[in-house]
Amino acid sequence: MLTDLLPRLARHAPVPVCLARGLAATGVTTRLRADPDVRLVASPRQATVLVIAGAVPRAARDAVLRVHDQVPAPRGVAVVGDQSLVEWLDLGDVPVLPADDPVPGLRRLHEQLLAGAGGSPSRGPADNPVEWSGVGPHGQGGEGMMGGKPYGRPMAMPPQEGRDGLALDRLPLVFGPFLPALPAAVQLEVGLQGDVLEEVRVVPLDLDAGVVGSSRPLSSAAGRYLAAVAELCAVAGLDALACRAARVALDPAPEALADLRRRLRRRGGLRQATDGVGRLPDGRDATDRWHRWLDLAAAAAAGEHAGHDRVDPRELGPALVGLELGHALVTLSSLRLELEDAVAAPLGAGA
Amino acid sequence: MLSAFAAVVTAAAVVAATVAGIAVLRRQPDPSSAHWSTTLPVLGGSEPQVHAWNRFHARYYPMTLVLVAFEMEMMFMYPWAVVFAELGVKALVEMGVFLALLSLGVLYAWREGALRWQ
Amino acid sequence: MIEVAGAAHPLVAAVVVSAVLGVGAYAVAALETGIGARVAGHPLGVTASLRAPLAQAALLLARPAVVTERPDGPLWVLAPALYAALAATALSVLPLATDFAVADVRTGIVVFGSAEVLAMVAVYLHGWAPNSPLPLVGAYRFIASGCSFLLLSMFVLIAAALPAESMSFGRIMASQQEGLWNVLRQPLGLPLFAVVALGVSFFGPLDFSDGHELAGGTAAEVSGPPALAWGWARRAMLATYAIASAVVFLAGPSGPWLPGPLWLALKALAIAAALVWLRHTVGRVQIDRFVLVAWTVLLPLAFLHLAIAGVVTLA
Repeated sequence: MLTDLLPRLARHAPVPVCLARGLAATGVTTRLRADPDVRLVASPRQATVLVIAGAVPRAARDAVLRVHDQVPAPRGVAVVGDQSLVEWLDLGDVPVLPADDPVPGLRRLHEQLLAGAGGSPSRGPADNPVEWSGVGPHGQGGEGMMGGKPYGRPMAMPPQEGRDGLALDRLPLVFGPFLPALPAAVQLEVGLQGDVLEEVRVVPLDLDAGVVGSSRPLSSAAGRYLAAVAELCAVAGLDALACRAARVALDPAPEALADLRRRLRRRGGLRQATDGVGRLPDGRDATDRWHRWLDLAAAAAAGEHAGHDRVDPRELGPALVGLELGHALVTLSSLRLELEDAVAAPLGAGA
Repeated sequence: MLSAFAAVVTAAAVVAATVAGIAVLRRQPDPSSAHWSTTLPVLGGSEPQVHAWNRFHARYYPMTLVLVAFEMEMMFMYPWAVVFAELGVKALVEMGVFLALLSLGVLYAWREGALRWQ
Repeated sequence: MIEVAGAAHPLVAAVVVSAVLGVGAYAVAALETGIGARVAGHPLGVTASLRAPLAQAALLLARPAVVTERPDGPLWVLAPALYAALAATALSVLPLATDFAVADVRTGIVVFGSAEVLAMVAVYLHGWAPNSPLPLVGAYRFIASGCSFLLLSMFVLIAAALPAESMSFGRIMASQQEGLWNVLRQPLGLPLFAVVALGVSFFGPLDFSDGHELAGGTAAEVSGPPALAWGWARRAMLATYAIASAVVFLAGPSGPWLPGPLWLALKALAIAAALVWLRHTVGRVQIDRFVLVAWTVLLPLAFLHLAIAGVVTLA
């Protein structure tokens, strides 16, 4: 009885979706964000369905498949736009959702999974390809206390000299390109000590090999700015406001836009998350940047086209050194449009 | 006293057991039997080069010391609070002096940059 | 050692605490849905808001739990269990009716405070266990935030103990039946305690450990039933703090006409609704700024609060 009741009840929950977005995927992102029947989750672990959207760089193939495997099985997969992503990733029989109305297809997929459908099989190796090495029950042994390589992966080791003369570990990590806070096609390479970035490089994915999939940005310029604001809201933990902003982005009517601006600009709101964050050499912080997005959205809705600058990700690294990891991610999220346009420039798909 | 103790412990134990029961539902008992590629840590698509467990810089360390200083002071404040109304102004002044001294510690920590992140 | 409201039989205690935490966490989740939908601009009916947590729980139960590479398995299960047990411990010293508490001990605020401190351990373990960098960063941040907000709670609770001349929550409630409610006598208390409530249950603007920018922080590697356990436990903690705020500042279960538990439920719901509203309207504060503000602004405010409480008590 319980086995029957659970799926029936579960069907009333919004579909938890993990979105692997390529370039110019604002259309789909915003539609999913605006729909109360879908929840864009922070981590693939929390999703039932992986949606691959936008123009995905060929260099990101392994990354997509890694995220794919991190969605707990049975997992659903759907692509947005056309068949090319399916063939490129060799996904087999997965639904291709229309970019302007992706939700019904997602819902169907989700319910099939709950009803016991098998889902997409894992794609990575079943066993760790690297040999076990090291001594002791956990492979921890080796030179000194921590020189071993449990499961083929070394423990973090300190750089030559730690900051206070202490030997402290530094985690070399690469985040992205599919972390929700990161702009599309950008990776964050860091040397992490505790939660502070000691070394930072913001690396655009290599686009020389080209991209796969169709780019479907929102048609209105105002919508694009508001979509970026919506993503920033979500990163700051304001999912309900993000949903509202996404709905306005889909239909930027002047009254709705004015209402949204008023709500967002309240002192205690989104500004709590962005005031003083990520101040760049031009003197602007994250709050200034999303305020500017709102201004540009209003201008675009009124028929003026001011446009925004591009920011080269490679020049951003030094400004992020010494920041806390969350701080840095919010900063990158507040530069989403500027970075994505710079990254996509070689494709001629920029603003 | 014992009856109160028994009540609190039983309640906490029952709640803990329930939650632990839910948390082990459908968890694989042996991680190494899971499909390896599904067990990689979430980094948004990249593979980690090292294990996450590490000896990290406890930036909050000076804060913990100040916290311990204040928590010790609680030992004094608990009985103080109970007899406060009886002792009156004297108790108020005593605690004021005591807190002022402890605040010097916070001021010092602040000046030394212990509350800053970098 | 027993104060106003006495101690319950262990079985009664287990049933009452489980029920209150269960209903409380459920109410918080329903409020989250309802208020969230309102802020998002597509208001939901009461039925839909009440059904949403059930549906979410069912979905999580229907999904599998994942494991990571070399996790610390026992700790991963222990973390939500410990966190929930601490919520239960804190709840058991609070009066739930004018003449009933699971254990209205004379050392009430000490028990409550220790549960609060140990919550740091539970959250840290939850981030440590999966052997994954993002949860570990979340855990790391929680310790820093915890060191900063824990003191506020102790000053607030001690200030409430002054007019009661006791550390028992039953007496704290009783002291407000005779005089003014603490929310008026000690006006800084409730806002300071709200900071602690949000901090301990890492909720909304103080969600340092499980934030969206860290892909879910300590919860980035949990799915299925363990995610339900963790999500339920933190909402149970928030519910406990809402009830504690109602007892300490709004005289808890005492009130005219209605039965005590109903008064308590109404007051706690109002506080929970306010906290959930903050969660949906205030962005997550940056951890470094929070730490600085907690030590240099909120802590002096807590001193001031204690001084005000002292003067008012003597007056």
